Amino acid sequence: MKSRVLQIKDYREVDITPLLKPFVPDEAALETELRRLTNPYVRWETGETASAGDQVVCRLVSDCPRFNKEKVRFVAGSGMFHKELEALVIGMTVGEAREADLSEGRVSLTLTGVMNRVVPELSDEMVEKLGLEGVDTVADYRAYLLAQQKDSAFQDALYEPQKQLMAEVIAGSEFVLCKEDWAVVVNRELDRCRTLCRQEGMVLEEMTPEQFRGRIPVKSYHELVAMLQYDGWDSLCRYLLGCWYAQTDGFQAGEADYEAFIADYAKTWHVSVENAREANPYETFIFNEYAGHTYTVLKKYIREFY
Amino acid sequence: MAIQTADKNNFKDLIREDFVIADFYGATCVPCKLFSRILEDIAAEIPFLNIVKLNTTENPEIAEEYGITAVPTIHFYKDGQLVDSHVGVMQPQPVKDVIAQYMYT
Repeated sequence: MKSRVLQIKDYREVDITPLLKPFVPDEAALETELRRLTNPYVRWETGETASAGDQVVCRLVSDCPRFNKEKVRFVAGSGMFHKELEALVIGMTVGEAREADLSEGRVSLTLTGVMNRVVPELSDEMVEKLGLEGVDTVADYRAYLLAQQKDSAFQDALYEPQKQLMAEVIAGSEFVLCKEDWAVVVNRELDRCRTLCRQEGMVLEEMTPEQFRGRIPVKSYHELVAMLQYDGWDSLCRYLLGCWYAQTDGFQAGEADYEAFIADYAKTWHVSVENAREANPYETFIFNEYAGHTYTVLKKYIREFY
Repeated sequence: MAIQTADKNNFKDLIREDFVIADFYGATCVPCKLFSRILEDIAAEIPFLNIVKLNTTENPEIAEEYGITAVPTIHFYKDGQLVDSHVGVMQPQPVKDVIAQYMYT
């Protein structure tokens, strides 16, 4: 390409802190996740008194057929059998009988068996069995989950600051942008769309709004061309910036990466390797890798503030 | 926990009796993993609940026979009859609502 970067704006000069939403840990989700670890260790022990969460077996006598059963098993307080009867059974001992006036009719309930739900304390041993590297204790696991939460929140919060930072870096840098390079970028993407559509049995130039729906966010071929032409300049800038950053940070993309990408693409989209190659020529892959590298560099910078 | 893994040889037998939740999942599907955890939580709460998991990647013929076009798909069976179904991840409460509706009928 003849296009090049003359002067690059240092992204570190951009204050992105006002754009970042602060991270607020979700303590409830954290506790739920920690409790989940005890699931495989829950024990059911024969008991005498029913509490919420226990399995109970009851004999029901009623004129209502649904509540006239010799043996019915449910979890007290789960709300899955009958809320009033589940509440009634809590606190009862085996052999005890109680009556309830339900809207469906009068029910006599005798508790015939109880299995108490025993949830063990969360322990370091349970954490160790997860086999997570460097995560050996409950405290480690809590920190691990918190880090996961933070990563996830960062991904959610990234879009706006990254978009703005990218816009500022492109606007503040100096480029020599050649029209023929821009045309190559646009036509490459157009060819990619054309190939993908052909592989689905369609002709890009003749596609209807219904055919575009869910595939490409446009309603017509002309809208698509306009969109790609509009995006082409920024794509070219991102590619040039990516090449610039790669010179200093050592990023490289080559044949081996391409082969790995093609194999992954074919597997993900359930297409042949030939179709994957046709839809993603090597030159397009390399262009996108370097353009994508710019996003990676900016993302890493934004992460420093999160 | 009453979670059983099914294949083409035993799927029909596993859904034949009582109330059964069948989870049709894909091997590399992230939402499927999320729903799997929800089912594990429910199974830890209701140990006598019958849950059958079928890997549609490994058992495409069963997936086709049961009209599975996306994963996760959740089928609820009562004595072998499909009584409810859902495509996509279900949150715990809606799953419990379906259980409450059919398990004791």
